[in-house]
Formats: sequence, C-alpha cells, structure tokens
Amino acid sequence: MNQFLRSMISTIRKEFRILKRNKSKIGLVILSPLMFWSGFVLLMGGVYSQGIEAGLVVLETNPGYYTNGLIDILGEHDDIPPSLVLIEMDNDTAYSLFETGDIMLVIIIPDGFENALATNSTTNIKIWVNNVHEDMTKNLRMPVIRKLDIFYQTYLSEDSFVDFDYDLLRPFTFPRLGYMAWTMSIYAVMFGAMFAAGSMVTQEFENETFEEIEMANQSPIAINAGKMLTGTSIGFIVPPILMVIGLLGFGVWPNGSFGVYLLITIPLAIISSGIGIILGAIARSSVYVVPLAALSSLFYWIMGGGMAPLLLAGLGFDIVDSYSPISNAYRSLTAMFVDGTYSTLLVDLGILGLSALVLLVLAPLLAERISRFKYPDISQIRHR
Amino acid sequence: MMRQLLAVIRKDLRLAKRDPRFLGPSLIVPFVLLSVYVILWSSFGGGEAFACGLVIQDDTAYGEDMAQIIEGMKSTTNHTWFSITRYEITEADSLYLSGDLIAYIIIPSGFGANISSGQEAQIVMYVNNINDDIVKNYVHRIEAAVLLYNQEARAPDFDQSEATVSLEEYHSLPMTPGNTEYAGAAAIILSLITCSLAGQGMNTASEFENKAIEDTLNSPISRFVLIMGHTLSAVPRSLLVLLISFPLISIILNISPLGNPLLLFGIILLSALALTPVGELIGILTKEKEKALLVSVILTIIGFLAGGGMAPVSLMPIQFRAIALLIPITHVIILWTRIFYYDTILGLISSTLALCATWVLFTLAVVLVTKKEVET
Repeated sequence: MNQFLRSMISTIRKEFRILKRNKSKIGLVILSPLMFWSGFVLLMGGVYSQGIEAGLVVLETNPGYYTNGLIDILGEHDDIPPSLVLIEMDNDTAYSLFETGDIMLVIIIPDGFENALATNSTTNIKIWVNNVHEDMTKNLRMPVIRKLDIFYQTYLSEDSFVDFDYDLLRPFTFPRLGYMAWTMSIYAVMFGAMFAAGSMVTQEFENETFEEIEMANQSPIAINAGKMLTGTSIGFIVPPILMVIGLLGFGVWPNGSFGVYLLITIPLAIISSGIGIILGAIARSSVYVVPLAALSSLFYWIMGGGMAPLLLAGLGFDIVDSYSPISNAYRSLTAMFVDGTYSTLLVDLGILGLSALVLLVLAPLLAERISRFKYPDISQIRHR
Repeated sequence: MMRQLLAVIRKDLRLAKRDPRFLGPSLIVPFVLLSVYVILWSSFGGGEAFACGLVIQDDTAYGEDMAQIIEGMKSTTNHTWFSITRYEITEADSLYLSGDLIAYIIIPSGFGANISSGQEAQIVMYVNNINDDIVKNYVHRIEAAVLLYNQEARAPDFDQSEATVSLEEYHSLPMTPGNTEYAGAAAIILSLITCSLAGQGMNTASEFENKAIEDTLNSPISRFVLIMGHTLSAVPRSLLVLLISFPLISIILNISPLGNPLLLFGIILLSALALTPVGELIGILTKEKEKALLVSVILTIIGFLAGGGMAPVSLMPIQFRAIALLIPITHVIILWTRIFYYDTILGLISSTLALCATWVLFTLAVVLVTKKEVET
C-alpha cells in the first residue's frame, strides 16, 4: 500500500474516532433532516390531514332543503384537500374571532337564502377571509368555491350548465408529506456529507492542529481526501430512518430500486463532501460552515423538487437547475420514487459520476491550496 | 446594581465589536432562506399561476367563453390562476405524457351544442398526479372556472350579479401580501431571531472556551444582574442586524410595513429580550461555539418553518398548533407578521404574554444553570 493510501485510511480512522467521541455532531446530522421534515409536516399538516377550521354563521331563520343541503356539502369530508371543519357560531362571535385572527375563515348563509332558491331568485353567501398570506388565502377560499360548485351541481341542476371531470395519470396519488420524507432523504445525504466533511476541516483550524498536520510529513491532499470520504459515509445515516417514518406515518414506500438509490446518492455524497472540505478550508470556522451546509442543502431540497415537482418552479430555478449536477440526482430520484421509471438515469448518472470524480480529485487539492492561504489580519489592518 | 449591569453591558458590546463574526449567521440564514423562497415563487410560470395546457375542440361562442374564463381568472394577488398555453390535442397529449406539461384541459367538441340544447356540457382535465398537492391545486382551479361559468360570470369582469348563488368575499387586508412579500417580512424578523439565539449562544459558549466564564461567575456580580446584562446588551446587537437586514430586504422585495411603527419596534424589543436568554442557555449547555451554533441555527430554522415563517400557523392541525405555540419563535412571527401588513392592535395579547413568560422563565432557568456551573 502506498503512502498516500495509508495516510488517507488513517485519516478516515481518526475522523471516525473523533466522531465517536463527539456524538453531538452525529446527533445533529440525524436531527437536522428529521426536524426539517417535522417542521414542514407541522406547517402543511392541516391542509392535508384533518382540514381547516371555518366559522359557520347561519342567519337563515327558516333553514330547509337548500340551506341544509349547502351546510351538509360544506361540512362533508373532501377527497381533494383541504376539507372544512365547520364550527357553528353567531355573527358577533364570528366577527370578534375573525378580527383577533383566532379564526381565519367565516362562511355566512344570509337570511332569505332558502326562500330565494325556492322561488328561483338570486341570493349570495358571504365569506370573510384573513388574507395575510397569498397561499393561505388560496387554501381558505378554494374549498368554499369548490363546495359551492358541488352545491350547484347537486341542488341547482337547472343553473348548472357545465361540469368537469378529471383524469389522473397514475392509479395512485402519493400523499405530499410522505413524498417529502423520501426527498428529505436526499437532503440528509447532502447535508450529512457536506457538514461532516466541512466540520472535519474547520476543527483543524479551530483546534490549531493544522500546523501539526503540515509538520507530520503526510500528504495534506491524502488527509483531505480521507476527510472527504468520511463525510461521504456520514451522509447515509439518516435516509433509512426517513423512509421508515414515511412508511409508518403515511403508509407509502417509494418506487424503484435500492441499488439505483445508492448509485445516485453515492456520487451526490462525494460531491457534497467535496464542497464541504472546500467550504471548510475557506471559512475555517464552523460559524459559517454550519449554516451554509444546512441552508445550501435546504435550498436544493426546495429547488430540486423536494416540496413540489420541478415544473411548478419558475424560470429562476430552471437556470440554476441546468448547470448543477445536484439537480440530476433529484431529477432521477423523484422520477424513480413516484413512477419507478429511469428515463434520465443514464444521463444523470453520467453527469453525477463525472462531477464526483472531478471533485474527488480536485477538492482535496483545492482545499489544501486554500488552507495554505493566509488571510490578512483584519485587526491589524484596522490599526493601520 | 445599576453600575454592575452597565459594566456587563459595556463588556458584552465591546466583545461583539471585537468579533463581528457572531453577526454572520444572523445575515446568512435569512438571506439564504429568502433567496430560496423568492427563486421558487417569483418567476415566469411560478407563483400562484399554475402552468396548464388548453385544447379547444369546440368552435362555438360557448367554448370560447369557457376558455376566456380559464385564461382570465385572477387570484387575490392579481396573478392569473392558470398560466395557460393553447395546444392542439396531439401536442398537449405528447407533452403531458413526456412529463413536460403537468396538466391540460380539453373543451370538447359538442360543448356548445350541449349547452344550447339545455344539456349539461363537460370539460375534462388531465392531471399528472405526482402528489396530492398537485391534484388539489389543479382541481380547485378548474372547479372555480366551472363555477364562474355556471354563475354566468364571464371574463374579464366576472360579474356575479346574475348568479343564482353568488359568492361575496370580504378580506381583512385591502391587498393580499404575496408569498414572497410575507416571506420578506418574516425574513426581517428572522435576522433578529438568529442574532438573539445564535449570536448569544456563541457569545456565551466562547466564554466557556476561553475560560473567561470562570472569572465572570466568580466575580461579585450577582448571576441575575449578569444574565440581565447579557440580555440587554443583545438589544443593540439585534438592532444593528436589523439596520442591515430591514432596509436591504425592503428594497430588494419592494415591501414596506403598513402597521404601527411603535408596535413593530415594541415587538423587536420584546423578541430580543425573550429570545436572548434562550440563546444564553444554549451557549451554557453546549459550551462550545460550534455546537452552540449548530443547535441554535437548527432550532432557529425549524422554529421558523414550524412557527409560520413561510406561511401562517393557522392552517395547522390543532394538536400540531399546540406544539408550535410552545416554541417562542412562533409568537415572535405571529406578532410580527400580524402587524407588518395590518394596522391593528387586536389579537396581540396572547403572544405578547407568551413572550414575556419566555423572558422570565428562561432568565430564571439560566440563573439556575449558572448556579450549578459554579457549584461544579
């Protein structure tokens, strides 16, 4: 075994020993994706699970066929999320809860509603919507609009000129929150590898052991490569946990092969750890490496289709997407997860593999060169 | 006591001036999160306008009326609800099957004939159901178009006065802030949240790293004064961060607060006071800058996402909302986003009390933990 390989392997052993001693780092590698995913589930859970609360004010004094029909339709569970969870209340209570922001949607059925529909006259229903945020406003208004259309189709067939049907491409629609658990596993690989590798470099600067490495007469490139490969393996701790959570929480398991998952994520982890050691050499302090690793991985999770499919993002994403190998990993993996298809796999694997190879060679070298660069001392410049 | 308090504040401010790196995360975190959000939502074909194909096989006026409704529907922020491109059926179907078009709508031949003969006509939408969010958004939009047609509300005015049942909407704000405008407002306060948690966490952890904490804790200053001094010195630091983030984000996104400036300033002060002891506790428990940073950044981002930084918490399930309301960051975001675009004093009491309680409880917790530190 040549000296380069020996240095690299002993670095890998050393870094694993340090990680074993410093369990909090591993804890954060595990917790970060789990907490992100939990955060998004908390945020979106209402729309996709139990529905949204809506105050219902019935001012109609003689509710009958139409009024009760509308109330039934409004309160029915809907296969298209979100359903409405109706809380019946009087007008004053609804007004005060709406004004304080304690309830975001109020539906009012006016007095005379029943009579108007029974006598073929016109009437209306009123909704109060807290419109502090565009997407929330949409999620509040749209279920009411949908229910009113269903009311037209069911109870006002003479006024219903048009109906619609929709045809879905797949026999089964995956729940979004389960889908997010799978894509969050890609984030986990990226963040774990980038953070672990970056942090292994910064610790040498922060513990002032960088000079010792230089004096040890070992190839700094081999040492950096060792750190990079250790980081690569750290990225694979969390994905199985996320997949199991997706299965237990939402009853869904992604399509596709485990072998292809590894084929795509291993080069992704190498690319990420390569970026990590370069970041570590530039920043030399965990102050910058930690948020950069967490946020750049989150950036790609969102932009790469982790929350929603790519076509819903705009031109800004398309431009970034065209030039980054990370998007190739997301493209192939989301297609595999959802459809079990591999139409872009060869191209994506080619780009990913080539980028990983380039970074495997260049990143340790670059990190070594950057590490040697002496930053000017800001305090001395200030004194000057 | 006052003299001691001022001495602690002066020392902390000197330290902050000497090592401005502590401010780094306070600017990196909000700007990265904001840029992700802006790139995601604000571009051609993005945002609320969902890309969709339209195939018109019916050449009657009825078909054209339907098409104009589909193309002209507006969201609350005056964006069209569909970003429609008209196709021939073969092209639309081929784009759809290759995954380049998420959905397309067909207005079939015979559509107008059915309506004119008194029968119900039908349009069809094909949706690539990657997940239930896609299906929801497309079905809701086509449903709105169908309802408008049935209400005889034709484009471009969408006048519902002839409708059997019209829908009258009242919105609490005169203009609905867009997703990015909301995120911009939230990112401003995120810089303060990060400064209070990560900045203070690292500040305290660095005292452990350079052993200065031993001198500080063994000095005759009472622990309570020490913690209060740390908390008060965090206020100018937080204001400094806001001095950078507030104008920058306001200019980039062209947003400005519409709420009462005094209330907004009050929220800033209260947030800094409530969150700094939390950051201090993180620093004491982790004792290392790197760990303090990791813990505080992760907590900040999770708290921000779960606490309504991207969208209000009001749509969460009740049980989840109860968990989110236990996080102090949630209350900061609730107060800030409520007042930023809304000139009101209503609905602020519970979150204000929650932040006051956070301030008191965490200050006491830090006092107790430092007592243990001295004993060990």
